[in-house]
Amino acid sequence: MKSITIKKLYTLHSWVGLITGILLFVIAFTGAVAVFTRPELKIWANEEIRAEIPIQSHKIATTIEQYAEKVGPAYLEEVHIRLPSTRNSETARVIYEGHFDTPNGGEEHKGTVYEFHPLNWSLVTENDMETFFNLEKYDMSTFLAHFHADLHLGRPLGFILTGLLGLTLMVSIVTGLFIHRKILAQLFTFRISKTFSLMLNDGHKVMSVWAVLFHSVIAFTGAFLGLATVILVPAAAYVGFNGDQEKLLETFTAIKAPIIANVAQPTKLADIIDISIQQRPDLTFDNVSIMGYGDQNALVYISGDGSDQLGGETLVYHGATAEYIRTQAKFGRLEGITGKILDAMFPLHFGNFGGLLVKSIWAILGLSTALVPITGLMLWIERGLNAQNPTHSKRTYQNFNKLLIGSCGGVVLATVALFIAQLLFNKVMPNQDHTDMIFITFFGIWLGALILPFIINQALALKAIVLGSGLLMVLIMPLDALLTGSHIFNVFETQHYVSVSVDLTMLFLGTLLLVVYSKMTQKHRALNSMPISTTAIEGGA
Amino acid sequence: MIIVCKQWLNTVFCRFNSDARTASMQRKNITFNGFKNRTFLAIVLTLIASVVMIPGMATYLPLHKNDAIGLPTLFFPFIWTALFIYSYMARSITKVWLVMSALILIHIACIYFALSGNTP
Amino acid sequence: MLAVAMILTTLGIYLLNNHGALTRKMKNQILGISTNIVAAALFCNLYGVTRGLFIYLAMFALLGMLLTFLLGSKKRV
Repeated sequence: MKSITIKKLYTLHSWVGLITGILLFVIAFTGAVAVFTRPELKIWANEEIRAEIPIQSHKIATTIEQYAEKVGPAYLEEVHIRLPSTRNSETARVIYEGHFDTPNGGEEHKGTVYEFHPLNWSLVTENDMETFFNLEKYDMSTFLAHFHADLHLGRPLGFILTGLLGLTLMVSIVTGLFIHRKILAQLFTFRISKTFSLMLNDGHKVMSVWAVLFHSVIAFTGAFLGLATVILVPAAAYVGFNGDQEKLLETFTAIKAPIIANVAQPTKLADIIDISIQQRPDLTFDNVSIMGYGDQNALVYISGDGSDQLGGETLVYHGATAEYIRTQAKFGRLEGITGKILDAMFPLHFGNFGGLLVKSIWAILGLSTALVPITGLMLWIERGLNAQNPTHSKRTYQNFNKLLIGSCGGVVLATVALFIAQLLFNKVMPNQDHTDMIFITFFGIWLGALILPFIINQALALKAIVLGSGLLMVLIMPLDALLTGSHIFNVFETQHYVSVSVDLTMLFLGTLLLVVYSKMTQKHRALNSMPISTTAIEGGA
Repeated sequence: MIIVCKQWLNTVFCRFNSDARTASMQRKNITFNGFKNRTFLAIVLTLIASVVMIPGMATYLPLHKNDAIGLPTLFFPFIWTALFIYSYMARSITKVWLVMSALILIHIACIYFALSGNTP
Repeated sequence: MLAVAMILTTLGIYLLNNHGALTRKMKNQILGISTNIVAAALFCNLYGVTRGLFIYLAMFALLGMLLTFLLGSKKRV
């Protein structure tokens, strides 16, 4: 390849990294944490669901029947139940939905959403669908998941931004692959004993190259998921469905409405749930959808994860007889290859297709996705500071470094602080909405950390952020034990296995961070006085 | 903070704008000719072209309807990336303009004929 | 079986690593690749072909990265 082409690609690579690097770290880091949002962090953040919740099929069936009478037959076209046993939310949720004709010849979906206590199925809240889906009620786990998805900037701005970041990550990957042509030769190269810049350079390449497939998958699926609802689906529906997005979504959705017979016959929901559990012990069921509840032709779709199928499976039953009809994937039943790709898309982004092992791998590789732009930016700063004829002033590089420390370190500190904040809010304001306080805590701490390097010495600020994050992580376990009474010594009694595991993980990570802090303190002076070889850095590019 | 943001913007643009003059940057950056033009192509026209191609491709892809609609949607990130890189890498800016314009016009025509029910 | 698959992946990567560079020895290359193929087959057997393949690739990336960081380069490449 010609040197001018390489130079162009290199410039493009560094330019894209320079503009998107910090934001990419923020998205990738919160993404790595968000892998555990459902159910691990959800369970940890809500005391009521910390112990296992059995599927009470008869309780579910009687509650559905009771509220079906209350909402009336117009709202029984679709009944969607989120089972509490998977502990993906703090309540069991039931939606009764009806389709109504509008004056302009269209169709409107209206309904009521009930939230029930996950154990005794007592009513917690009742809202109409529109109000419910516009509610912004977050605990720390959902806050992090939504922050990763749209930075809490809402639709469409937030989704467009994260989608575009996925696209720019793809540009960085493609240009990076062309620049680093000696990929295989340098695959194992990590020269720790040489200079700091060389270590950064090697670290950047090792993380980029080894996990290139992972980065590519995350970039592609992230771009698709971010832009799907705001650009891709409207554009796709424009010709094929004359702009009717709902019709397009219905075509691609696995759950189909039956032809209603208008003959009343009870839906055997309890039997269907029991049969499903008995027949498919490999699946963990999370959702049930009943199309035409109480009708002779009602269809029941019960979906779960855990089998060999990448996107989970949905078992379909005849509602009135509890007769098994078929098993289908979410999109895989569609003719063509699109359904199969769509089925793989979501689990490959979320890493929820192989239990805790895959989630852990996804989280660590996600952290590498976050660290790649950071090492790239640090390298750019290092080179700028050590260049004999730098492109910018020394002050510019230093200020950029401060921005990097504040914004990236700050998001880590703010995320860790959410754990402590959630425990305190649960204790001080039980059964209340903590959304505002969660927002204030996260953005307040992030802003504070962002300003810190500009007020005090940047090295000191970095150490303070590392120390703060480490101490907060270590504090989570004793604070949880103190405030909730749930700890490792009574775990067999309380059966809070997941939440105690979260506590232990945070303790381990906190200790690790404190060790890093201690090493930083020891080596700080030595690192500052270390001679930096610019030629070696340039040679590595 | 504002100063840092200004410096950051300055850094980004000075790095690529061949006209930018800073005290430390006496030499001209000639990596990209017509940088502003290419940036416009990469940011604006690339997005328009890749979005227009989603419904456009659905009209002529000889696949099952689900794939004809679904695959262009899935291709979008790849098309965008390819066009973005092409905007900067191509030697001639005129050629980039021509390719982008042709892609947009052809796909708009496909959409028009599909919606109006006529075949070209 | 999971532990065996992980150990084989690690071993395969280790065999391909020659002091911070991809080994030039044909014997080690063949051994390293074969070990990884066996590891991939074990993952596919455990999780099904599609899931197993994705899990193997992710594990290969993770272990490769960690091994490179842990072992470092003993000589300049």
